[in-house]
Amino acid sequence: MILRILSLMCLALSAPVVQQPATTLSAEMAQRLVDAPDVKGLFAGSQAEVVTLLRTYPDAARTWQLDPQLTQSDAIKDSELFDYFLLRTNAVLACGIAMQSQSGARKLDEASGSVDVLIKPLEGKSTVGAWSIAPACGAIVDADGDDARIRTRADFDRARTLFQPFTNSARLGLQSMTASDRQTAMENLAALSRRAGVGAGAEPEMAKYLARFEPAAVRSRPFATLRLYLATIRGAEKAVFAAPLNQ
Amino acid sequence: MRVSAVALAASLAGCFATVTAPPAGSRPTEQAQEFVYRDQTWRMDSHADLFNGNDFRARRRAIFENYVANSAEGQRRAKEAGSTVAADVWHTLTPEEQTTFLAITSGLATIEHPANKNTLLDWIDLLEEIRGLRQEPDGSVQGSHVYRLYAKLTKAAATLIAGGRADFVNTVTKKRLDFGGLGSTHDDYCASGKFELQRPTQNHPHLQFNLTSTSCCADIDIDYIRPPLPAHFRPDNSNVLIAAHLNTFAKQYIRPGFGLKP
Repeated sequence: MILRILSLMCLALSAPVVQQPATTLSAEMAQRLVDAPDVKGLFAGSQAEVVTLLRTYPDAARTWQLDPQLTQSDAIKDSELFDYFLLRTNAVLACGIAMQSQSGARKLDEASGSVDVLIKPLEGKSTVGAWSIAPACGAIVDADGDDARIRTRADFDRARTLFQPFTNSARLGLQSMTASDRQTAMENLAALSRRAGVGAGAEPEMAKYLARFEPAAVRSRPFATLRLYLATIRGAEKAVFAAPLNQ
Repeated sequence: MRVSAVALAASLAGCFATVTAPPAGSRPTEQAQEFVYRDQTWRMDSHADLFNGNDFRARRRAIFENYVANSAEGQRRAKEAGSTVAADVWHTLTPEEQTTFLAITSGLATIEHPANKNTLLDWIDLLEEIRGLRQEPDGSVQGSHVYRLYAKLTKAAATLIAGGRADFVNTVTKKRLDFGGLGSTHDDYCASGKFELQRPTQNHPHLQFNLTSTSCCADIDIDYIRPPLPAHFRPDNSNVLIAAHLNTFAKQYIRPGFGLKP
């Protein structure tokens, strides 16, 4: 099931931008995002891998602004760490969709670069203390606009509080879109992925930290506003990590 | 990231058509220069102010002189300039190349290792290429190939970056910071394939190293647009010659030696 969802996601978002009826993979993918299996479903069988990476691979922890010393301690339970990862990952994806709904989900014109007009920054609507969410939901920032670092259990709780309402509002934005707009939004996000480079890249460093799962390979590929990390373990490919789409 | 040839042509025309070269005549090293870029007038300090001083500018000068003397690109530029004097070569660079070099070197000089007071600028062993806006052979522009420096780092620096555990101080904001980043998607200029690592500093705008630890080859740029905003994937993401970018730069880093004309 997970593999099927993943295949649909990747196929839909790497497909050329063409007009398609609402029953195509893009629309199905959009529907899945609305119905909420999305990120949670994608990583349903991957808690062990995700938590292993967050606890042992310092760069994976830092990707989601977690101080490696915190994730290596027992201050946070595995289930909490995994839920935090799902929350942040889902926020980046939902925020990408919400940016589309704000602009009316018009079809982008890659040649003119109008994607920058169509996908506008979605300003953080949630603040906790001096922390707020950066446009596009890729980071928590402090009062100066610098990346916050989650060093303590209290910081961790604050970060979770920060993202909870924002994610919901982004989802509502998506749900308010028509099926046609949703399809266009997904196609626009597919174009964004292409900008970041669709080709899947080998990730030997990540494979090293997943060694106990004996992955045959770990590869990354853009997906909407995320970069997904996929591992082939015992013959089956599964999503094992995600990060905000970057270059 | 690739941009279509049509969009590129429009973009390049918009950029270069509005760049006004410094006036010929007087030796340009002696005075500040003005140039027009995308309909805005910019002012750059004199060569002496950019490269002379007992502070980081001495290191900046040494890096550029080494580049002219020992890198393939620097030697080619010297040949084209008809002079091996670094100041003469400097004035053959485009405004985009000059400001990219100045901004990145200022940025690197801002980040200090608290234990030994070395800055990231001390990490550059040999600067090999200075990139402004540049087309690929097929006419496209790749965002990860423009507005950046290609350099060999010292072995100690490469080891430190690869280790991923670093604790620095931003001498402007007085904040501590370190690196983040997973695997690189940038092309390794020293080898086929991608760089091994990507290490952005965790401030904004952030300095980003893409590095292969065994060869010490790195590309260094500054990301002014946060990912995953779409503009992050456009070439201008790392272009400091945009007023909004320079404004955010000024909050984090030492003054680079140029700015919008008041």
